[in-house]
Amino acid sequence: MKKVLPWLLTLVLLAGAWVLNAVALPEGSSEASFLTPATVGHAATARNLTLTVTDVRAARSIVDPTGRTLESTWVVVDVDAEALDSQYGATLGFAELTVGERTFRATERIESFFRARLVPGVPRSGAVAFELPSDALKGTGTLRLGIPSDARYDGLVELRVDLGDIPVEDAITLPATDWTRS
Amino acid sequence: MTIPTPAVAEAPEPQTPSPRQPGWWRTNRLALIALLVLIPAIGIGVGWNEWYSYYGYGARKVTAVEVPDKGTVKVAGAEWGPIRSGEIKDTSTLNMPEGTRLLAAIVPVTPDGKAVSCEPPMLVQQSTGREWTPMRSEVGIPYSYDENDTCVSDLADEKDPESAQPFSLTVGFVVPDDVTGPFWLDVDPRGDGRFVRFSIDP
Repeated sequence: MKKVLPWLLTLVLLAGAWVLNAVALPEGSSEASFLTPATVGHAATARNLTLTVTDVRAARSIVDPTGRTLESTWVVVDVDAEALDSQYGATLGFAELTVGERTFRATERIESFFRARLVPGVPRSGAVAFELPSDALKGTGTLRLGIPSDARYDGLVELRVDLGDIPVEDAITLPATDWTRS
Repeated sequence: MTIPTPAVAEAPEPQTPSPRQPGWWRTNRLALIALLVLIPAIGIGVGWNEWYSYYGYGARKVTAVEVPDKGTVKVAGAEWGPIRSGEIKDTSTLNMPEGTRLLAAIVPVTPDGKAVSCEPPMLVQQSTGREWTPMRSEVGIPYSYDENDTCVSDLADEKDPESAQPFSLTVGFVVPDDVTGPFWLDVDPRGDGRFVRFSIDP
């Protein structure tokens, strides 16, 4: 018994370590965002934000509300959004599209809904646009939208988008950011 | 040859009834009292340090200075009030969404001498704590030099920094119809942990 006990203990400890290692969350998990899954056309809420992605489109060129045209490969996301409790610092400050290993942030080259102000209880609408390499319109993309520019510890709305499925239009005119009209 | 008498175990000495051994608690009472004091002290000390590094140095609004009805209050080197507030009923020329109200407020500010600076006023629903910040271009009101939502005061004499002129904060808020008053209008002067709190019910 005396000879077996240390080996038994060793086995138990090793197994314990293996289990601990297996169940431990990946590094950085403690500061990970709180993700609310969403689908097109359905409202989702993340902390101080309620947001509906009404459409996801793709085009070879976009025209912003001031009439500027930009040629590239674009994914345009139409959004209705409102704040819930506080307007202080409430803007659509986070908009990222992850395709494979690459993550793209919403473009700042044009006037869009990116960083638009959000009002508690009063929805506003607009569109954010992502500029992608021409080969990126395939597979599944993960779209994340939220208020914080630094999304650690904070809530984001997450959508999966089948990029290969979206018909690519020649040109899309981005809607001007405005109050949501029903 | 005789059989040696076996040694007799010495009888244990009769226990002298020693004075009662002081217990562990009693022996360590000084250390225990020290712990009782130090553990909460560390908690309070660390907590205070964290709290102060965030809220301290006048960086954030902490203490409300409530303004009496139709009155004024002196905070952070200026006199604030009396406030005028109300609902803008005629919004036909503005870009207002349906089902909302445009609430407006004007806060006169009279600096004691030096110019004061402040955050844009915030409208807070008293029953829920929901907060609105000023909107202007979003409802189609163009920028006006005379209608500021932050503290901007001209100097009467450009060479004398002590000659800041009185001015007014002019702000509008877009709130849903179903959000009813009373509200607070909070103005937070920079560099002071106190903030000015008007109670309004437009």
